[in-house]
Amino acid sequence: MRITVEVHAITCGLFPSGEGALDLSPDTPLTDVLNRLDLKTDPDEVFPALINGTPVPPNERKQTLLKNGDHLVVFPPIEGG
Amino acid sequence: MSWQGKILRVDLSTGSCKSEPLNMDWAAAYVGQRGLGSKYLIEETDPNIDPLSPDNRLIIATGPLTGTMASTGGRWSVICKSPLTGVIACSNSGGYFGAELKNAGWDMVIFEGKASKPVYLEIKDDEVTLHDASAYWGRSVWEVEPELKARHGDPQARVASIGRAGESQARIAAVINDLHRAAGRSGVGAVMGSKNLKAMIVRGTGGVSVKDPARFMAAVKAAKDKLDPSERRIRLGKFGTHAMMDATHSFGSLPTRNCRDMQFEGVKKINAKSVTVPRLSDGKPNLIGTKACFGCTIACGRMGLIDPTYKAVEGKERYQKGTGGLEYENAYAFGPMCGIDDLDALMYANMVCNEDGLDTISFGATLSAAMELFEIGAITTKETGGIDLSFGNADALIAMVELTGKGEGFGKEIGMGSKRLCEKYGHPELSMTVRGQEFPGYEPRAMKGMGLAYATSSRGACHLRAAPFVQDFSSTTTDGKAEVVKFTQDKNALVDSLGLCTFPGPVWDPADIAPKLDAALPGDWPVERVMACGERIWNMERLYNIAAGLGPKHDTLPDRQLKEPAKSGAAKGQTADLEKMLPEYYELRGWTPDGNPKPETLERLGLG
Repeated sequence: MRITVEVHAITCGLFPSGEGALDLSPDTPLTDVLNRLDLKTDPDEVFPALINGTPVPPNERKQTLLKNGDHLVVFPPIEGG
Repeated sequence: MSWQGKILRVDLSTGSCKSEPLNMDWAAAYVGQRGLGSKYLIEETDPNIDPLSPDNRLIIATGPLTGTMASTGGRWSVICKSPLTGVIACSNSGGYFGAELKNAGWDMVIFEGKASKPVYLEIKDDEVTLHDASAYWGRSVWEVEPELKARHGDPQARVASIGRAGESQARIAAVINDLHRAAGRSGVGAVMGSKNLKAMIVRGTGGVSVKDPARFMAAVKAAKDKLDPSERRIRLGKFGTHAMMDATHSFGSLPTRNCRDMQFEGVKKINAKSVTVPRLSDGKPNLIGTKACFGCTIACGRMGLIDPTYKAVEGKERYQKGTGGLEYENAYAFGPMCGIDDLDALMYANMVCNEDGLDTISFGATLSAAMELFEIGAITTKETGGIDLSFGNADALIAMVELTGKGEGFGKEIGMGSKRLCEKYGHPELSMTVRGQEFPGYEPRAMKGMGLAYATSSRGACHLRAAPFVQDFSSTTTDGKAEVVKFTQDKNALVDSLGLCTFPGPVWDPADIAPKLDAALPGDWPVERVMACGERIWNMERLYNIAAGLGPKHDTLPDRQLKEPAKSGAAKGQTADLEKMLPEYYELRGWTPDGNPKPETLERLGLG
């Protein structure tokens, strides 16, 4: 199955341009996908992740499984000013 | 030490300038800058004064760490009663002006009264002089700042001034320093204008001493060692705050077309990536560099360059050089809020706001309210002087920023702010404000904690009085939001009182801040004491606002956020759910169900 990914304002090792498509085994957990993206974040950092526009809280990411055609968006917990 | 121990009191009515000792009891309890400046305002003025009368004070305040080696130690504030909101105003700026004032030997300057003709204040260490400013009145910040430096023969002096917006007492006028840094919010520029005070030029050579220099430098180094390698700092320097736009758009919390929508279809034309793309005309991108304030190791500031062939700047050389660029808040307010996706129009509006001294957030959000009034026919081209105020019209943004900056035509009405504009034309419900202050770029229906932060903010809708970003982007529920809002309100009240910036955010917790104070200031400053200062300051501001007429009904949001479900995004179908959070927030604060601090709370904080 295939998902699409957008990463905003975080350096992403897998998709340096910040966007791309990813082929996965069915029902891959969100935590596995996030690890594959190779995101440059602080160890203690909780960054938002949306699947098809819906935020997935950090404590639900292990049991949240990706489906074919899902769109994943990741961005940093940046503060405005 | 760390405090300079003296304040400059300027009576503009008589022209007297006197040095007086800093009240050290108040300094020990309210620290500096926001807290200490507010304490002076509250002690010296009746909360029911007309903000634009000579009775108001204009307090220019530094913090104990302003001008020291502490990273981000360049912050300073303008404190007064706000002509926009009717409650306390404390508007914070960066750049280099604050550090210069502190190095000149002053913790604060308190202006009172009103000059009979335009004046500016010159400070050269201990030498203080009021000068006639008639030659500068009616002229822009960008003209006056270099001319003052040339007149005094000191290119290294620092200047803070008002533009024509402040002179005309637009209630959304800012004080601008270092050409493109702003004490932007709450109309502090109008108070400066009401006093006939055009500018301050400052040169300081004395330095700032601390109690234990070796321990202070060790504490500063430890905090820098934590901040510098953090990805948060690296990202903020690399992408700037502008990167927020993709986040709020993706999440569905980007206020669009006066908050009717929460995602903007034109976002890719004006986001952080768009400013890095070389344009056709000259092969250059809009973003030409970054900049840092005094002592800052983040450098989130952007330097931008408008397309020199853009219609609004043709033949106008002053706009065709690098200047303060687009940040998230100004880009949001001129762009999605007005439905405009023309990057150069946004850049132009930002330059004019700096040039004429306007708060970018309030200007953009007020224009968006005018656009909705125009759309429903409450105002027409008859009122606007022939300008088509349709959402998305970049020409309207260009025309209105020029008129508002100069205080001319329909721009004078935009200068009143969104609340007064919408009331005048019979639709107060279209004003996206809290206490009369316009929304920053976060929609409360999707970001519940930010909604609570707006509703309870001591200065009206504000994104810097609390920092519930991480929690809000994790979930659109109200769970835990009251707690994080309360904690970060207290923390930011503390940070705003020190002379530091809030942008290190979660990288520095109170345990990273307290050692710097403990090494710099007389006495002991453990974590418990510094956080108590933050909570004390928050409650002091609350008491002032209540005395100025604030009641429980004012801790609210516009009906649009409370009653109209979000059309799209993570919070589709939801409203702001404020009623679920307010009781918990009041309880956590130790306030009554009506939002009044309980006697025991005031007693605990030394405010009884």
